[in-house]
Amino acid sequence: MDNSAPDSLSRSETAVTYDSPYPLYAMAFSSLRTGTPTAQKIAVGSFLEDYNNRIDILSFDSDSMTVKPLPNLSFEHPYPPTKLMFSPPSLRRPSAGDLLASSGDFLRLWEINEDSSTVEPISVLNNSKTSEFCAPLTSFDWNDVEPKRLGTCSIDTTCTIWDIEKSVVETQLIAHDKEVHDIAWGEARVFASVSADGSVRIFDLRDKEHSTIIYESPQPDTPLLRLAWNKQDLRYMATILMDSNKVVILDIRSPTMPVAELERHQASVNAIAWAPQSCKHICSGGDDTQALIWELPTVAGPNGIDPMSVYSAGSEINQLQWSSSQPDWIGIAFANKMQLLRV
Amino acid sequence: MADGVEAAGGRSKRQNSLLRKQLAVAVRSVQWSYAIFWSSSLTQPGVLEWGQGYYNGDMKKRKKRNEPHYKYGLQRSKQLRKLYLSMLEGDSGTTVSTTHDDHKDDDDHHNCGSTSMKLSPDDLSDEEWYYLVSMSYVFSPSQCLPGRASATGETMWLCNAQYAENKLFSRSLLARSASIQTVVCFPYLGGVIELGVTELISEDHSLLQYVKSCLLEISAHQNNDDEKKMGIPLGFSDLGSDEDLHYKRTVSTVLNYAADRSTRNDNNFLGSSDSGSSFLRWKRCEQRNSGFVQKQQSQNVLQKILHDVPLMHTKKLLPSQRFGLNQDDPWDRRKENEKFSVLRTMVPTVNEVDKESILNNTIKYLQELEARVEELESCMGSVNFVERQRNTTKNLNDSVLIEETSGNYDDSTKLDGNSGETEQATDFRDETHLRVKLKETEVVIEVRCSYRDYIVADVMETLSNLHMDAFSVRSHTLNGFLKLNLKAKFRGAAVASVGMVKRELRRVIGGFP
Repeated sequence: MDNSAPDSLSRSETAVTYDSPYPLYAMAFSSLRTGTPTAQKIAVGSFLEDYNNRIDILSFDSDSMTVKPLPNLSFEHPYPPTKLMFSPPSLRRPSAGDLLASSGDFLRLWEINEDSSTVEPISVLNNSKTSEFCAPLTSFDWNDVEPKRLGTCSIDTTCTIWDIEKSVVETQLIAHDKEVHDIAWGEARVFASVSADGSVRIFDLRDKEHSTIIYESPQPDTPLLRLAWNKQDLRYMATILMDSNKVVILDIRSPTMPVAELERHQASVNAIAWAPQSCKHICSGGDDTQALIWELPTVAGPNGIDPMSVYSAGSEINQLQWSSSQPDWIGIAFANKMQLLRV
Repeated sequence: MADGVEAAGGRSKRQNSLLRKQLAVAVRSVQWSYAIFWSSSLTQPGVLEWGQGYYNGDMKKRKKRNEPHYKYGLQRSKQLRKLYLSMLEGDSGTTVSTTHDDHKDDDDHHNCGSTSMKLSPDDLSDEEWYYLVSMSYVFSPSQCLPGRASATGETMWLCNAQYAENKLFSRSLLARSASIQTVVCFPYLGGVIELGVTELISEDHSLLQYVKSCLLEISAHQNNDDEKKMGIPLGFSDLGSDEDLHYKRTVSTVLNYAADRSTRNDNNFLGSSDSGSSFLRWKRCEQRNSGFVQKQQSQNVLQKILHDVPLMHTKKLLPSQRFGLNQDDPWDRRKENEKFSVLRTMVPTVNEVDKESILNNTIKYLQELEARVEELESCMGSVNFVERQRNTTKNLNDSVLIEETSGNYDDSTKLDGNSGETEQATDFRDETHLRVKLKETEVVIEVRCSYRDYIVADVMETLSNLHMDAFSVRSHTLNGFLKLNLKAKFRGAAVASVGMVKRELRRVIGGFP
């Protein structure tokens, strides 16, 4: 294909866009169900600094490259959802609907049934035994290997592990000294979390007393905002710091020394996602409106690692999702739009 | 092209095929794993590099016990060579430029059917891997086993090759993974022949003799003219290459290639060259400003999600301005201030300007007004009360509200909004009267009225309806006159006003002027 378009416009004709009436932040791809392989659902959460927020469900058809909203499945959510996630494919569900989890003031589970066009709240999980008040959740992660296990992290420095089938707390750990910003599962019983205290810690549920610090931000107390664990190669993790344009790649076998620092963004990085099917690729999006795909070499060159490809969106990219159910597409959210970019 | 003395290494095709046969026979005769001929380099005199090889060892999915045919072994050796060359070029899957060795070789005829089979690094067994990586090695005179063998002209027999020192045998690490335990090098025809095996065989001269005789036999069948002893100009060229570095470099190139192949085969990561991709290939020149420009509000949404949104839940209010980005905020603040000043003008207070005292004064004023209304209304006989609701206890801490009236109005209806309780020194006359005192959540009620059946129960029920629970009750009935003293507590946050309590109680008691 000839590059007739100027470099500043990048291939928006191959991107699929959804315009939303309000700014978007949270985004999730549903896992493919055997019945409808091409029509996939995407959930997008609004970001309005208000009590009333919404979650919209969109249907994405990769063959025809269209995305359209399903208005019957749009529902309200109190306060902006900080993260959305569909249940992993390993969760066997008796009914036909998809299970969506959202975090915000509480952890909420919703059943989204396209056939009957209903969204039913299944449970509201509050880990506080004493009061109705639960510390707000900054993020959560659903365990792929053990799908009834879900881990949430909150500003009260704790991480809570839920058994969502029984809707009970499996365990609650005080993970850090300050607010925990993100959590990611590695194996069935191992998870990692990042916090405002600037550390990445790995926890093993078999040994709850101890955690391993595998990285600490170079300037002490620089908060780490997001974490992504490479599901294809569990040795590698990526994290981003506050107000930094670097994506830090860590090897859990060699703590404290990052394997690589990807420093090609021209402004702060907002979101990172590992490729679902390859262990060497990672995508990052930032305030410089660019989404970069990087390939991690075995030996780095002297000038650092250059990204493989770039996409320029219209405004700062706030969210990036690379789902294993759609390995050819990367979803990004910026301003009021959600775009699906073909890799 | 076999005339005269040839430069070392410049072998003819016929020579090559002969050599290969020789190696094949040599290694097969003793059933060792591989044979390599290190020849003198064309470009660098004195340096030994890969010349020919024959692989006779294990292959994946094929055990040695099957005794592969000679031709199969040749084929395999060729494939390994091809694979190595293609890896060097970093090309995946495209046709490999065949070396002149392989061209128009006798043996090629046997292979034309199978050259299409592409070998990938994953298909190789450990031994084959060792063999392949050996192809990259280059030895200066006296360097390592082959170098030393050619320099000294003697046979070098190395046992336990996998534990050998790097200086002596640079491929010891590789040998370990391939389980090559014995390596033998001896000079031959201007180069060095190396044989290796996965078993530990102690030095055995007879074996060597046997190998050499095999070699000679084969060559004897060929044109003897080709066999010339070529002298190797012994130069001490210092390559300056670290053995380890070489190993690492080779391995990493190879691994890179392998990784590349696997990723490229699995998915299209070719960016813009792939039709339909949204991404463009990244170019360094695209960076207009080199370096990092930090925006005013960097990671705006992300940081709000992590910091502000949780606060929204805790305070149940919109967050106080943290980033100053929200354009509505200064506007809101201005409006708020305006309203406060309006309030100040309405409330007759001392000239205090700060918000808290304005609020306090407003509360006081409201209480006064309420009491006055109460008074007037009971005077008028109309019922008009407003339920007061308490938002949080903070504002009304330590405030004590008292209201008292009696049936007669000679007693002063003194009002004190803030502190203390005014004691009414009234005599207890047999007069119907109702006294209600409110102190935070506690209510003290005095009822004097004529008795009727179930009046106390009715009073209690009324209190219950007003969300109060009585915890102390004293009643005394004399001559049909009831004196009832009650202390009650409010159940929840909702607090009924004194007026309301009185109105309800009056209804129950009845008979009030």
